[in-house]
Amino acid sequence: MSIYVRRFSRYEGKLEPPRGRFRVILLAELRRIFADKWWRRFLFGAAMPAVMMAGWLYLMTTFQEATGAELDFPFFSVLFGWQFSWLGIMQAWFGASMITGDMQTKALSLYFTRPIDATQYLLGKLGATMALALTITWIPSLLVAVVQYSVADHLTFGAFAENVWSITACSMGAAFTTSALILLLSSTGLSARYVGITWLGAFVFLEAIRGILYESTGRSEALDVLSLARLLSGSVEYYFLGASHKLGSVITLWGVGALLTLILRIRLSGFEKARS
Amino acid sequence: MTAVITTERLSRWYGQVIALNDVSVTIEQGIVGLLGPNGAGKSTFLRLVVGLMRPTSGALRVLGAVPADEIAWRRRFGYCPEHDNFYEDMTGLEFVETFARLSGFAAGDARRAAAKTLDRVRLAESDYAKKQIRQYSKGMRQKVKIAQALVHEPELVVLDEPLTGADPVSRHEINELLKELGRAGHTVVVSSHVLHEVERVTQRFILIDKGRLLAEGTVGEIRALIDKHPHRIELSTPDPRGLAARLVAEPTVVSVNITESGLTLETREADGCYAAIGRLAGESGIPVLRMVSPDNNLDAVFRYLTRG
Repeated sequence: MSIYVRRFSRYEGKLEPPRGRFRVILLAELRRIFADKWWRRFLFGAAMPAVMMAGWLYLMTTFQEATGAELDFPFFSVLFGWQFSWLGIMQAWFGASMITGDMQTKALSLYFTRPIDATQYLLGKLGATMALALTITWIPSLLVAVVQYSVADHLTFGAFAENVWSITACSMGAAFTTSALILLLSSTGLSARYVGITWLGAFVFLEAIRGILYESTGRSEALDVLSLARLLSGSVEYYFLGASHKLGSVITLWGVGALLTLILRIRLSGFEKARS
Repeated sequence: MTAVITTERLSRWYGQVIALNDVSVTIEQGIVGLLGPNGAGKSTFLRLVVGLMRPTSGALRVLGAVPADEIAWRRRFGYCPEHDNFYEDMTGLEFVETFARLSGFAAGDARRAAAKTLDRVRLAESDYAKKQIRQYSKGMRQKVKIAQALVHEPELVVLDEPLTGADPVSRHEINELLKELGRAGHTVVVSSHVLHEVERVTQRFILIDKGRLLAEGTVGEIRALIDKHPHRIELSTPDPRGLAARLVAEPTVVSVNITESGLTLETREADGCYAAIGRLAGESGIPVLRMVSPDNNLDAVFRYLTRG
């Protein structure tokens, strides 16, 4: 028989509130991704359209009289078209491994034996994926807006602020919904490669289905709900081209994102308690 | 002594397969070995204890709480899973620090606690704490995994096969660490399918096989309960026949066999038999040079329990 006396002392420092612990997961994920050389290369490639556009803006304003070029060209919608393509690839490449990596290596068991719940885990992963998405949508577009404001004499601060708002809203909607979707796919437990391929395949497949139905049902815009690409381009048209009839796309985009997040939350809760 | 873990008719099914069957056990403070072959249900039991699963039926209380229900309670235990192929890109220090922060430590405190814990598992001195986990040997991976379970100074430490794959030096260091944890007042539940490894750390065991609780207690206690198999004692003596002739008359002795090196006897009452051997050797003047009990160890006990 032994006598056991507690000689160790518990941590007596101030505990951080449980609600903020998602930041630990978020920062750990960002540190992991940013340490990846492929992410840095990808980022370099994704920044190219914005760099070219900023250069084009500079040249056009500098040599405007000589070229007669118009600055009214809707370059933000063109830029977002490019960036959304990069976003799709980014999610397939880097977003796909966010949860599936933890599932395949059984690291989820480490998270869920800490005082964090499925919501904190979800917020951490969603926050990290959105941060990556915003790095290739919001930040480059914002830089272009700043360059535009600094070189275009006729642009008022009000117009600049409106651009910033549109860029932010458009980027956030895209980042939120695409992140929620890739995380949901990532939570299926497939390998990251299959999740990425499924993600890209779903884009093509849903676009094709929408196209067929669009032609056969009298070109209804309600079918845009089937296509994430159409919702994203509708969002760009709404914010940058003043297409008010595309408000439905914006609302649907956010609604789909919220619904996917809710489904993901329920799914993660199942992992946390392993009821199955 | 206060019960740290109490289970009552605890069962867990995976579909049609039963992983844990009607297990009722009480674990008190100290080090306890959870033993059984691969697939015995050890990991399932540990996952239930740390709240990663809910029991299909039965009751389970750990440190006074129902594990799967209370999130804040998770600060009171540390769990080291069997698998270790995660967070390859992180350094050992980052890995342990991350899990300290998930336990609620402030950033600076988490860093200090991580460094201190890595020192405790003897990983800091090799400078490997600052290298990526992908560069670690199996033993180092086990240590860093144990470190994340200890960084927040939990009352209960649950270790699933912590010695698997570790080299002899790492095994020794991990064993010493486990003993140190026990001395410091932590409750340690350590699972293994290699019985003699755990025997170096503790004498208290829970034996399970095919999801069933086979026995619990010390090796001696468990061995004493196995009436079906007599206890064997091997003696080395220069006069085996003389000693054997005296021993067969003892009521505690079941059988005596003379061998090349001495004699082997069987008894159902080990303590009484040991006393008789000492008494007879003294009375007859026949020296006993060596006395061992080949089946008074965990391997033999486990073999008897599982094979009948």
